[in-house]
Amino acid sequence: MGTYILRRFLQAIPLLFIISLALYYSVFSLGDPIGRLVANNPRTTQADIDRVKALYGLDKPKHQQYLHWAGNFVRGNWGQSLVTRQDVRPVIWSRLKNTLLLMVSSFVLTLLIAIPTGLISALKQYSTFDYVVTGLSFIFYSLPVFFLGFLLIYIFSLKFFQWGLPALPAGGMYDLRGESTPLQLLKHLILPAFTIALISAALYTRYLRSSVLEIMGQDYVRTARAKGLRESVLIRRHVMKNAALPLVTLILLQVAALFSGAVVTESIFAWPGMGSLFIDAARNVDYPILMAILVIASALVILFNLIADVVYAFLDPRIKYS
Amino acid sequence: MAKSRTNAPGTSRDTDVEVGADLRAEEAKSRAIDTPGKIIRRRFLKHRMAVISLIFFVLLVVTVFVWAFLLPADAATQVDIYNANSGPSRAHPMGTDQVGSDVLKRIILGGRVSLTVGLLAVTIAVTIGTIVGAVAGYYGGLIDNLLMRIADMMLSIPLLLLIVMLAAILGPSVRTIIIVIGLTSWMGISRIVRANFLSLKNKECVEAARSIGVKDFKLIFRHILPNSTAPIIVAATLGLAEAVLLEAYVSFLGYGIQPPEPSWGNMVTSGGFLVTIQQAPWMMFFPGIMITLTVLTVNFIGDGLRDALDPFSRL
Repeated sequence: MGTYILRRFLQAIPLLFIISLALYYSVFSLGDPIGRLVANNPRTTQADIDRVKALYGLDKPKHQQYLHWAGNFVRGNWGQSLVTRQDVRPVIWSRLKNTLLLMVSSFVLTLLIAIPTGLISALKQYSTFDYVVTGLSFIFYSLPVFFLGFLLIYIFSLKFFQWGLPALPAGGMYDLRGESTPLQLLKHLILPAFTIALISAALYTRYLRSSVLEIMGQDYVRTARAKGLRESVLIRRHVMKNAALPLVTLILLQVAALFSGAVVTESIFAWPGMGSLFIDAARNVDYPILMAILVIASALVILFNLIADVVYAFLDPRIKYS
Repeated sequence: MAKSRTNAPGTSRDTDVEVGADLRAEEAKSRAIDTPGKIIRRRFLKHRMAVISLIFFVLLVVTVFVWAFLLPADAATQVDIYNANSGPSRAHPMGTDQVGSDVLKRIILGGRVSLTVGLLAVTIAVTIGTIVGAVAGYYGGLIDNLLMRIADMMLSIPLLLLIVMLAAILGPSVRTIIIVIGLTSWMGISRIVRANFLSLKNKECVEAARSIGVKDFKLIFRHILPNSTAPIIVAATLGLAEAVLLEAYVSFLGYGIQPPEPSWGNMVTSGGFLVTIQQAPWMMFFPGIMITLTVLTVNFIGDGLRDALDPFSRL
């Protein structure tokens, strides 16, 4: 097992290297990194452009530029923002925490919604509950994240406020006035977390329902019933355990999608995470930030794929990795 | 002689023969009717939601394209400041936006953009995915390894971030967004096609064609590819839903279709400011509903097609 994990880690490194290479080349061959800087000032002369190019090392051949960038990146020097002149790494770290907070809490919510609904609708197949859940899961699965976010804001922030009910904040992490308390954070977290969770729960509910249904038809379930096992024990010990396996991998493989959902959700709710940082950076074509975020996001996806494989092997003793 | 099971005691042999012959005739008739196309149609029609969705989607596409063709070119950007932010009424069934443009007309024109982007992007993605998958599956070995590693690599990059960055660098426009979505959505289809080719390339029919000297190109496109159309059609349908959603996301984030040119995604954005949600909620509600309905119906159609074309797949 240990050697397997180690080998997968070592395989991930060249993959990440190639991803960064491809990203770097596409970024720098498609766009002009200092174009924006120059365009803002009509009095820029050719000499100025050459000087700025030399300053950023852009006069050197592409592969040298890449190696220079990659070497710096590995050593933790991620460059400076072209716009704010801040060091990229501390900016990203401070935003990454917020994004992870949002992702983890919506992930927990997703499971809290999806596992009971998926299980019950499979156990009570063709009941009213099952039909309602199936219908809702189709609808939520088709809802664009931002549309759901705006609907939730409309109902729980604006309408609740009008009706005098306890309204939830529509954006940000803390109230602008007063102290920042964990309770405030929690209140601000509810709407964005639910926005992501309702949509991903729709997918997992459908998935869990069909895998539980499949397991219920297996021979070992019939055997367990035949030997007089109570239904609750049967479900806990035989059905849930077997259904958890594919679900866990599906969830871990959805990290890329979760990340995309977080980007959109952050820009709806003004959540100060990596997503909104990325959108701001894209607006200014701020290369160092864009590159760093893309590489980190890809690294996270690769890491979670790796974890998915390891967890799969851990949960399913039939699988032997060598 | 086939004996009917409902052979009651006392019936004569003659009627028995007649029943048997009748049954055989019935069978022959139904066998003659059941062409593959008929089977597929019958299976699809059994999926009630898929049929309703197909009718709705066809009506939607026809309405959007015909109506958009009939509308004047500036219908989406007509300013009528006295009627700004007015709610749904007889003159404006979906209300007006902050400069008084009719939201319904903007939905029709925006729908043309959104649907065009979705359809063309999927066409690009399916074309690339099919070619990559076919080449990888057919030739195998080094080229297969290389192509599939590229697909893996692209699947490791969060798609939305990649699209936003490329659109930001290239400058957002309808053409950019079609190409970028197409170029970043082919991986799933290429995997499906590759798996199909791997299982089909050693089948007897292909072997036979190869033995009489058919060239690789013709083998791929005439003998193997037609056998894997079913999963491609299903994947393309589900991919259309995905592409419509992606366009909406990218436009929502400001890197897709640029206002004042409407698309369903950017219409939701412009209706999504806190003040606008409060004063004119219909501005984000109707385009949002349109995206949802489109994605929902296309997903149902894809589901129905899968049940009809490819009942054993677990996509």
